[in-house]
Amino acid sequence: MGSQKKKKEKKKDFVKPKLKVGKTKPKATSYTELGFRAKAIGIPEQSITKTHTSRETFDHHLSLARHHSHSTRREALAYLQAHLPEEVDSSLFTSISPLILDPTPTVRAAALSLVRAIPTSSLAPHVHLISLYIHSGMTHLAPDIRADSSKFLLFVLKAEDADIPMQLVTRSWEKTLHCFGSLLGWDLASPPPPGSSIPAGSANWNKVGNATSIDRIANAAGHLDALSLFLRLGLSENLTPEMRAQREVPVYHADTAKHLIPRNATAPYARLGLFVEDKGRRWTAVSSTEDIGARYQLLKGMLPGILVGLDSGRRQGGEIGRNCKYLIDFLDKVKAETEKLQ
Amino acid sequence: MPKRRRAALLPSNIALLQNLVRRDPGSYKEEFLVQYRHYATQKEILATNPGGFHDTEAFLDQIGFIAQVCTCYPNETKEYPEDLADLLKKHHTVLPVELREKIVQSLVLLRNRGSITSERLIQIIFPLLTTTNSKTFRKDIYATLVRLLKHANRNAKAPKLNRTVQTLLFTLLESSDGAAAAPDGLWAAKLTRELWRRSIWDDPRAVEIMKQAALHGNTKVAIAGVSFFLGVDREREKADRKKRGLVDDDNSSDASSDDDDGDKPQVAGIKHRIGVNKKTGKRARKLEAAMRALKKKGKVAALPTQLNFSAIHLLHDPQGFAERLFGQTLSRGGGNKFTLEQRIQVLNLISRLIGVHKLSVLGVYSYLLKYLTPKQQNVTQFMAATAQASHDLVPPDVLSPVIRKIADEFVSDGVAAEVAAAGLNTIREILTRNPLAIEADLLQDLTAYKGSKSKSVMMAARSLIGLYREVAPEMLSRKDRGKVASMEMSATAVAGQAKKLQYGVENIVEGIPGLELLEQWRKEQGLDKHDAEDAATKEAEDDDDAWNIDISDSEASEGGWIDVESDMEYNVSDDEAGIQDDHNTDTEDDDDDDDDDSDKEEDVEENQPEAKRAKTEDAVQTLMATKILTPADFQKLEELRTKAGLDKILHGGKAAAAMQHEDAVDATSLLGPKTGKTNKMERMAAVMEGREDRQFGSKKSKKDNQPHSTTNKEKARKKNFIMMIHKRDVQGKNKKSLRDKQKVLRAHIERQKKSKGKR
Repeated sequence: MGSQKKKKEKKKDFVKPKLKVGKTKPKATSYTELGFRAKAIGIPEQSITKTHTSRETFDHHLSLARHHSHSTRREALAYLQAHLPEEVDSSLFTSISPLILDPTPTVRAAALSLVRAIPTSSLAPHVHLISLYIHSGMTHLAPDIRADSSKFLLFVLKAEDADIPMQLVTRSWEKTLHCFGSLLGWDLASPPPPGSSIPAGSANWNKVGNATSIDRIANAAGHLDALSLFLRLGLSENLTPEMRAQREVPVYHADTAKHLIPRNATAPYARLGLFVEDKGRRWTAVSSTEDIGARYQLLKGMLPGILVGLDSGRRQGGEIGRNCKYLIDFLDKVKAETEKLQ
Repeated sequence: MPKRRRAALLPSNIALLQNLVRRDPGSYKEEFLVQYRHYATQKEILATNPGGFHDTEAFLDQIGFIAQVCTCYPNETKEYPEDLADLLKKHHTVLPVELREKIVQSLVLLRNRGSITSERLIQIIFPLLTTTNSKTFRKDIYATLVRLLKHANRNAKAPKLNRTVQTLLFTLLESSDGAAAAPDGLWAAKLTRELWRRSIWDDPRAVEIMKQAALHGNTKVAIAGVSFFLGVDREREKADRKKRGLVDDDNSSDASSDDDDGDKPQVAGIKHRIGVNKKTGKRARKLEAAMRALKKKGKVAALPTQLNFSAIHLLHDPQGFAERLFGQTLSRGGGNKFTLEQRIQVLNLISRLIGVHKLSVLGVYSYLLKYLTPKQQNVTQFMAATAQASHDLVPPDVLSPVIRKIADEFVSDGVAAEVAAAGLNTIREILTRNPLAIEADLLQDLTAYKGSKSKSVMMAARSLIGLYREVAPEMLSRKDRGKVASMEMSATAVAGQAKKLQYGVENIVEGIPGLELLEQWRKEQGLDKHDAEDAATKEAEDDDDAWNIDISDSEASEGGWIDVESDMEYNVSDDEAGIQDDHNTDTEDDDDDDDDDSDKEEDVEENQPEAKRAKTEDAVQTLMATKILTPADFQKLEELRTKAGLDKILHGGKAAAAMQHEDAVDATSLLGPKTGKTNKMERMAAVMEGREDRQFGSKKSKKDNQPHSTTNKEKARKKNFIMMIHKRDVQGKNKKSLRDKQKVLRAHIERQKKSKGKR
């Protein structure tokens, strides 16, 4: 039996395969497929002789600013700070401003020092972008990011070029105030009932910051600094020489300057909301304020809430209490002046 | 106390905050507002550079969080849904994929929570279906839409929502009526088809959408529309059946039916186990679960069947639709856009429309003429379409050229047998629907093929003869008419009431044929009198005496009517009949005696044949007006008709049914019964069909295949030889005498031979 089978198998090897009409010729058993299918062939190109330009390395480090490892991000920022070019373009800002919200404190610190190193002349066009991230940081869920946000804000407000803080003040006055409200735990939206002003405020004050008590005070001090600077910038006419010069263009009327286009405004007609698509929400989306009067009007609704908060701060005493007192005095003065004007 | 502790818990991540907010919205309002503001700032950042936004994950969390809790603060989050809609509308092309999906999810969640209406949600996401360029996103949106509509229509139909969507689809179809914008229209067709298949939509508006699609300028959309009308109702039925778990033919549903089968014994098994084993909570729960599953299954099966009209029946203005479809797609070069398969599909639809609604689109027949040649590709489909497109209101002079052409091309001596069979079958199909479309000469020529050697041709010719025996035997040659038809013909000829087929004359049923026979029989039996007496006297004591008599008669011949006997309605009607009988006899003649009356009639009949006919008709009318026929009466009637040789009733038989029927003609059936070699698959299918729920093979093999422990035989075979060597069984073999050894050897050889022969 076995031998029969073997014989048959042997015979099979020598049988010539039948060719059939309309069918392809069967492939030999030893046939090897030689064709290959590929859309593209990539040939890696590497050279040790090639040198990168400084621009290329700079860009590379820009991209590293989004690296998932925080130490790499920090190092990339350090490199960027060390190799800052004369002219800084927008790519730097788009990649470093998100780092205001970085979860790692050291990275935020590095970002802050980098921002400080950037020449103010190139900072001016990008204030809006940075302020967006600052606002986001001021409302962030993580307490340490919130705490650091006022550092960035202070930097912007203290910038040498007077135009930079004024941009923030004019373009996002209301929003920044709201953000301060959430930062300091003040209820700005609804004024407290007239009878119970102080106790309610003191309760709120305790809620500021979620970290330890010492840290909390430190944060609060920073926030208060930023707030007072912001309010002073917005509500007092500290005219720069340049602005004075603008005032002194041929004057036909005392208020002519008000109706002129501000010379160094970045978005002079932004308040008109010409490019806002949703017509229904045009005025709330862009609340650009051009003068103190308009700003005071916006502030007026929140003023009771702010005053309550400041008052409770004043009761704590110390440096914070002093700052609060100064601010209260300032606000009272502004209130008196504007109401006298009207 | 717990509240204070919770207040002390300051949320450090968003999930925790969500939990807290859900528990106590009032206390955490401020935290929520901070988050809401944060979301607003994030959104502004996104708006500056939607493509390059890279803090996606945090933003995703934010969106999800607000969507989850926004019902807690309806005033503060009034604008939230519109914000999301805005984002989606403006930036859906550049947004990161997961963010896009999250926004859609959140919107659906908002709808579920009631923050936005279903209409609004559909208005938001529907435009994305056609504008997005991402395949997965499109799929997602499509699924969302279907799910949404299914939900909305689950308990009761949601006409408002349906109308909104249908309007959207309409406008989509209208706006995309150009070759470039094809895919948009295709989505409308796809969505409608899906919803129809699931029986979510079954209204005329949905059909109108598909009608619009079928007339669309783009080929793909048009074909989608056409195939909807051709196939979707079968699909729907299938889906419905699948849902009920009744009959399934898919593999997937086979699996589910297996589950069904497994259910009952499962319950029984669990019950048994509970009875035998220790009672535990787990077992009790298992039983409960099984019972619940069983109950649920029963519920699904007991769902009331919906009355579903097919899409073709729900069409508004089918005549206009068929004409436009024909004009746009087939005639005057419109057909150049379509491939042959597509043209066949369109033609199929047009012919179905014509057949179902009895339309007159006369251009179709001359169009078909071109394609009716044996060498035409897929000619059977064209022939099927021809048959479908014919009905009794098509003018015979329009149809007769078609029949002439088929006869010339297909039915001649020079063609193959199957071609001739197909031609004859097609002609028969056409003629069942419109018997006037052929002249007697041609018919007789065709019926001459009954003597063909090919079985299929012979059968086709015979079926043609059979048809005309019923419909118009006078058109057949005398030999072909058959006994019944000839008798009927001569009977009607004598009576002078030979009915000729006429175009446009509807076959109205005027009475029950052969009723006069029953009337006569009743008189002979004296049943009428009996009835009348019944009405007067016997009624009170025995209601259904007459009925019972009839029943006992019918029972003798056929025992199928017993169920009816117990039916109360019949009893009541019988009473009424009796009363009416009585009343009528009173009014017609002032004579109380029925017998006298009939005698008089008979006398009159003998005198005047003309009057006789009138009288019988009168009598029949009376019978119909006064008596409600019982099932037994009908059976008697049938019997009498057979006796009288009038079994064949004009237009009452199969042919009439065919003339009414509007079903599709199966193209393969036109080829006649298949003879000759079948392929392996067909044969196996037939074998398997025969084997269904029967088991083959020996009992032993089944037993052996069952899992079992080692048998004694096996044990003996495997026992160590050393243990056996001194046993008598083994030693005895050595000690056997030569003769015995020889005997054993012989027997062995014999057995071997036998077993080989068997193989």
